[in-house]
Amino acid sequence: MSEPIIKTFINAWTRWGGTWERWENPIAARLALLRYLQDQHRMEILSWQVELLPIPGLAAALNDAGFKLFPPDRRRLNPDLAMGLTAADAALADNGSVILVPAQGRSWLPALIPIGHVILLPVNRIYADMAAWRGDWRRTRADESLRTLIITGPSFSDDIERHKHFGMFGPRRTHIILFDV
Amino acid sequence: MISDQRTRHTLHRLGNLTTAARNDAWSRVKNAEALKQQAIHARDRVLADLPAYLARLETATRAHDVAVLHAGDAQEANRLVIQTMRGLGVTDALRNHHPLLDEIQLDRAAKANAIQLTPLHPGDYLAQLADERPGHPIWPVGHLTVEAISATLQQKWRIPETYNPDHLTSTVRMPLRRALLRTHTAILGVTFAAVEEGVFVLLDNDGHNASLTSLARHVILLLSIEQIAADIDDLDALIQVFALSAWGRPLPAYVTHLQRPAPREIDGPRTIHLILVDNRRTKIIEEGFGQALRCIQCGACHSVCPVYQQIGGRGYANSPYTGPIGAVINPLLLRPDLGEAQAALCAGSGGCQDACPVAIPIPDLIHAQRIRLAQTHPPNDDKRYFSVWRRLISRPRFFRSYIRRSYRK
Ligand code: SF4
Repeated sequence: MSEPIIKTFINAWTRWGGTWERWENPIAARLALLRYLQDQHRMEILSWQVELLPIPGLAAALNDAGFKLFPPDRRRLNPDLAMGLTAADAALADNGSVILVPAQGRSWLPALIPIGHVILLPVNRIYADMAAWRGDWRRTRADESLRTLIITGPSFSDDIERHKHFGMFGPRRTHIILFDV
Repeated sequence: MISDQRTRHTLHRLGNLTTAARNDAWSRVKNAEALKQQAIHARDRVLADLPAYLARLETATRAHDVAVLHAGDAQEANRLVIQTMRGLGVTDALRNHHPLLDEIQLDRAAKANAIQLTPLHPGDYLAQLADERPGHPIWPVGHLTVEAISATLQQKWRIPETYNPDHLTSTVRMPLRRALLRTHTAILGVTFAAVEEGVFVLLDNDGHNASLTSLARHVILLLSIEQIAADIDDLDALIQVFALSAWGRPLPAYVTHLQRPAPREIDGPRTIHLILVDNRRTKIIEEGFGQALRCIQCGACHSVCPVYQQIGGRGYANSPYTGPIGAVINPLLLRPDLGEAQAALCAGSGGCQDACPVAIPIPDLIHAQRIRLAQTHPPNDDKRYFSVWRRLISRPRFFRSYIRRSYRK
């Protein structure tokens, strides 16, 4: 993935209110994730199935640090959930968006219900723009369902005199941990 | 005309902020003109052969196990929603923010049938609490001041008076989030559909559509038959144009695509019903006003309309279609006898046409409405006035510059 595309993505991502950090490999990203979660003082995390996250050894690392991951079971969802953890299928550099395609163990709910959302993203999943991503999709995943969620920044409502209130239904904070592979 | 200064200021501010954001966002688009042309082409392509595209959409969606129903008018659309809900054995649902749902007056029909329908969009929810009709396609309570919203919440929920928009939004957010997590059935107005792929798209910044499509077991989609794109590439162009013109950003915070019921192991609806709503749209095309149906309801024309700035969403015959395009579409869509009053809401400034990303010639369409009106309902009492008026309106350029000059005085 070319550096200018990664930079474009970071610029656009921050423009819409997301925060980010970038690491040289998945192991460094794993440490960064632990640090980020510790800073948030949240031990319960709504998450994708941990084996489907693109960082090796994450289950053990989180467990050792005392974090409890749980899947998005409807009965356990509550409006005060603090943290959601997912990866992303792709990211779009020009708009600073991430794309989530649901699958078993890869629910949208960790990206939608908690107050904060952390995304783990290998830089090779960043596409220049929507057309580039669609082109790749047509070549490789044409017969899959086109149920996709494109997220560009945190959730907000500006219904009252256009004053932005972040975290309306989705997260108030979206943090991305980028890493090279 | 809104007499309250503070409300007028709020409307002006809404218009100015929106216009500034829109202009800024479009100025950052590399091939802005090409994108607009693509959007216009996308709209005209389907409008030119709507029945064929709708037939293809139906085939594509049925192949995805989506049940397809047709509603000729608003009454039938409501009946199909209620019937579908009864068939599913549900008596309550959440709905999203979409003008089509207001057009068919779904809330009223649901109430009459003992169905509890809650709007999840905070603007719609506040409008309902304040007994107001949504006044803008994007910001339903854009015309309400923070003081008015506070007074409503004080009166309805006995919350202490506060003029802090954050506190007020949080107050509304809590019950809505709780309702969302309990949701079973969602009724969703679709922003656009892509025919070729049989895909539906829902756009918002707060995430209510994505959450609803994840949590609801049953989803009933309502689609205005003209809001379709031939394929996903046209759909992408329309999404971008909509977001730039509505919110002043290249994409909204959430773009939710829905295609088929989800299998058991994945979040998402187990059943999807699609109701295709005509409600006079075919007739509008036949009557030669098809260009009006290019409208994607972005609200850009509202922000630049001097009349809308004065009256807000009131004066548009209680229709969800307000602003300049409302003046065109309401007599066509709702009642022809609205024509005179709606045409009178145009001051001929022409700003709407310049702001419209799909280049709808709004002043010309209003002019054509006036001609049609003049032909079908000539006033008997003052023929001289009528002939002067007819001469004036038969020269749109002259008429517009006359109005502009009057505005400058
Ligand atoms: S007429 Fe044009 S500017 Fe006005 S709402 Fe429709 S698409 Fe937007």
